[in-house]
Amino acid sequence: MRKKEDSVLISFGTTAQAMAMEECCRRDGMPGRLIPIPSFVSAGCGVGWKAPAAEAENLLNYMDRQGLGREAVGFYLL
Amino acid sequence: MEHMPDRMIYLDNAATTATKPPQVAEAVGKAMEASGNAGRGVFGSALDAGRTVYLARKAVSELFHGYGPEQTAFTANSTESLNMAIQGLLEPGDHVISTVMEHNSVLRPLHKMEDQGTAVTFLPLSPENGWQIPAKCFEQAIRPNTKMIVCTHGANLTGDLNDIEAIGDICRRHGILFVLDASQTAGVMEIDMKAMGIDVVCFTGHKSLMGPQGTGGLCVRPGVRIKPLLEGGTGVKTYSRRQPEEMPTVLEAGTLNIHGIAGLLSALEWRKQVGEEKIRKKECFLADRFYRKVRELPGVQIYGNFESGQRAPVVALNLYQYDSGEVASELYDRFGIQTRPGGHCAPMYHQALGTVEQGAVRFSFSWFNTEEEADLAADAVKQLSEEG
Repeated sequence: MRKKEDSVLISFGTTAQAMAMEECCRRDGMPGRLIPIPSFVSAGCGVGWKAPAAEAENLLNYMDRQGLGREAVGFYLL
Repeated sequence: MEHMPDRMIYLDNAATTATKPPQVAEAVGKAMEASGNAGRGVFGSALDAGRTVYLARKAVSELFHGYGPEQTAFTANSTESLNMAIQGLLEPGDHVISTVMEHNSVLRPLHKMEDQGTAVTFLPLSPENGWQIPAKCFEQAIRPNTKMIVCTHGANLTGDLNDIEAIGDICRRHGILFVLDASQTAGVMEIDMKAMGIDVVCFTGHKSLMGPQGTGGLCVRPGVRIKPLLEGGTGVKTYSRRQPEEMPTVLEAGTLNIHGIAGLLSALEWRKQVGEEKIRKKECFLADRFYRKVRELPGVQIYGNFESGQRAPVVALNLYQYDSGEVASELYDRFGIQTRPGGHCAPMYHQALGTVEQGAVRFSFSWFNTEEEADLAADAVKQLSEEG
């Protein structure tokens, strides 16, 4: 398995929220990508947004500005 | 931007078959260019649409050895079909038997009925029974008010089968309705409504049948009266206040997905042309080939019963203690292998297997996969296993 990195993982309550996140982040060049969410994090929609942990604040501010919904935010070695 | 491997291998056919016979898309496209609305007029394009739907009903009924096109109703998917059967047949005070192997498309409608006063028994799995549910357990659970057994034919998580012939026999002897969820086995395993005593078969068109998403339906034995979930336009009996009671109209309020149904018909014709048995053998061969290559790898835990003969072409596994999502990500990012991790909408099954925390990685095969793809997937699992 690959070497793990300190990551922020944003989970979503619905797949629609996850898709909206991807659409906006791609459009605006924000870091990260969608991954299957580990079950210890959430049993929500199963899709999460993973990015380097150092980008967390930047991403969360961005989400707030864009009105992007989320379920939870956590920091993990992923 | 993420780096992607050059080659992608799709092994999530239990969720949907991503590759369809080419004539399916052609049929959908053709229908979209010219279809009228089936049953909504007596002119060329409406009649053509009606003929397509009729031929599709006939083909589905033949597939399940059902009771003809009039007893075959179309829906959007298995979930809708199962909701119709479960909510349309059960009443408060009834008892229904099901299993912990079920998908949420069975579990959630049952829980809803439970909340309204229907008693539900979920038969458990145990290692003593080889993680299967012997048919006798269904019989032992019958109560005086048992109205229905509803269960999956093939579990979406593991591919394990229920013995539907024996369950059908029990239902017939006890005068109980048998509702079958054929989501994972339609067109792969033999399903004979008449010979097996099945009252309602619920199916989806986009998985093993290789039709478009948004197609599904139910085949219903004459005499089984399902109360409709929806009421609305039918093109017939306009001045009747309520939904007409005749099959298939009773279960088809609103315009049908004629474009999708045209694709489904084309897929069914393709299956017939290639040969059901040939398709089944190839799909099962690929799953078995993969299974044999990974079963003894260090750290690999496989779920399901591989000793009992027939099974759906699915292999579910975990690797060491890694979360299934993490393993699926590795398979995708490094090897281009697309699998399904997590809970698979099968909460009770994961509880029974003790995999709620870890989930499982599901590999599911289709006619359009190759031996090389099965081998590459096994090699990828081997590499992850060696990396520890």
